[in-house]
Amino acid sequence: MAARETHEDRGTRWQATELRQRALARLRGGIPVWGEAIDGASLLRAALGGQGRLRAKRERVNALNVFPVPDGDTGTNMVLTMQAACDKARADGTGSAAGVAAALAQGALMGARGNSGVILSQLWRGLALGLEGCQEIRAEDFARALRLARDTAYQGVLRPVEGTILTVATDAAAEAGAAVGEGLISVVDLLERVVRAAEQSVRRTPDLLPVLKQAGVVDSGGAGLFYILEGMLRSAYGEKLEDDEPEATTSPRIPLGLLTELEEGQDWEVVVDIRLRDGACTHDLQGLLDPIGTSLQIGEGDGVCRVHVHLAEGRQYEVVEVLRGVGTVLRAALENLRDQVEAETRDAPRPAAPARVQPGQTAAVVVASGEGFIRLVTSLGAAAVVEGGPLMNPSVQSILEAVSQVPTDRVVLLPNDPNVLQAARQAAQLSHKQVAVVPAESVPQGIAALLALDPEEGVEEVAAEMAEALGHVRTGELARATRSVRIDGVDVVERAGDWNHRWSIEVGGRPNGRGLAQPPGCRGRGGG
Amino acid sequence: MGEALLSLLAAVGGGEAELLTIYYGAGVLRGEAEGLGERARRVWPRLEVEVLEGGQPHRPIVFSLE
Repeated sequence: MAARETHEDRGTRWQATELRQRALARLRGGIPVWGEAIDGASLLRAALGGQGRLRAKRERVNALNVFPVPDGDTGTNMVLTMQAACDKARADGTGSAAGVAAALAQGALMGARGNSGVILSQLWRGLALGLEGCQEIRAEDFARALRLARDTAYQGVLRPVEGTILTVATDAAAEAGAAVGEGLISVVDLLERVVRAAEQSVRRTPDLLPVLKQAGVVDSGGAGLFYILEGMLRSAYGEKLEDDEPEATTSPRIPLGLLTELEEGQDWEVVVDIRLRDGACTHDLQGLLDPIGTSLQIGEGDGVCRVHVHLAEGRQYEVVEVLRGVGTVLRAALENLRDQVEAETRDAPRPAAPARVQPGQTAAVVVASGEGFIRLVTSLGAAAVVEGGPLMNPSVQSILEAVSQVPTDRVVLLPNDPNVLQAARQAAQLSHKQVAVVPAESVPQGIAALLALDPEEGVEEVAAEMAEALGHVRTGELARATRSVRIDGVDVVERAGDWNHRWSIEVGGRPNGRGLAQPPGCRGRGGG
Repeated sequence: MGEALLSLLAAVGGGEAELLTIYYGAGVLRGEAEGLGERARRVWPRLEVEVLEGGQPHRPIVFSLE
């Protein structure tokens, strides 16, 4: 069994800060490129520095995940939010510091993804408010703006939780205020004190939020904010950006009759578990299967490989034959995909398009991923589907675009994931239409809500009926464990190669992006 | 996977529910998902079980209880 990771293990990894401290000291030995005040161009470079630093640490931030399931995407969400901010500021061109800050805030607001991205966008919004009218930023401007950033972020959250990015923002702003109070006038020195305070604040997050301590991690959003601030400081010393490649982002998709047809040669799916002979490797599997099948996927763990391959009618038995040459076949399963598709098309003809809505009616805009789910919500009357879910949180902008595209002014939004909720709320606020967010936390909950959709009713009535429908459904999900951990008294064990134990129980649902713990003993999600 | 699903179902009150809907994700075979439904039915004979393709990534199984 894999060794259980303890709080100490992971905590120490974050606490191994000597390296960070040394890096800061090295920076301090250098000569800052900033003077006593920074202009708009320097602010943009600082934001780019923050983005670059966070991007370099993205996987580390993603790994700071309370539940050992693949949904750690805080780092990715924050990077994409920063990227949207910087893209907008670059497109607008540099002018005053206030102008650049406003552009950064605007970009972040639209590009925000996930709850941490939404909070980050609120921080930028507050910072921009605090810098209004500033041609250049002096230490006292920066301190004032950080305070306003912190306040704006708190206001944007219904129930602020400590031990999160909010706490780190508070500590950073407090340190800046204290430094200015002591008469500090160099904006670089101020930023350095802010970075140190943020670092210590991140380290304290497990003491404030028990679920972090239990999982042995520091807060991911707080860590992301630290890296952004640290990157800004590096930029103040003229450090070259580590990485400034724009990232491919997914755009919303409004499905218009998804295809159910199979491609040529995909009549069968065969799954084989095989223990490779000594000296054989997954490369050999690929060499053997590439000539006979398509969509080849090979997973490996503990010397056992699981092979997925699609084959044309008539070749489905060849897989086991050819694989016998490189090892011992432990298990094989065949599935006739063509027959399945034909049965499904026969039984449940897929609707040609999302529901048509008339002006004045109430339309449902739904966030979902997976062809089956998209087909289901479409057939239940969704007017538009924004593709997204765990590990692929849609941006505020993509939700907003879907809301704008439906030909009515009345919209209910179903985010269907706790980590999409804040972005949906932000989109609702930014939209000129009448939009209500119904806080469905999973697609099955969204489906229950859709069943209560009556397009002839007003937004408020529909939202109220949907919220009531949600209450009758409990939902849960299984995901493969990404690490071994003990949470709420349940051991989750990650064991490669042992399929019965590679599934974790997701206890208490996911945290709502801010690491909210569910009471022990309350497992699964939803009400009822 | 079966053990994990059954203990999670028990924890969220599978015994009191009338309908279990299992949505299987990308990479899970329909047959596997139906096997899971069958196991749940054996534990709670009065539970109606429906198995649907969700096709969702990252979550092999998502279910709802009503």
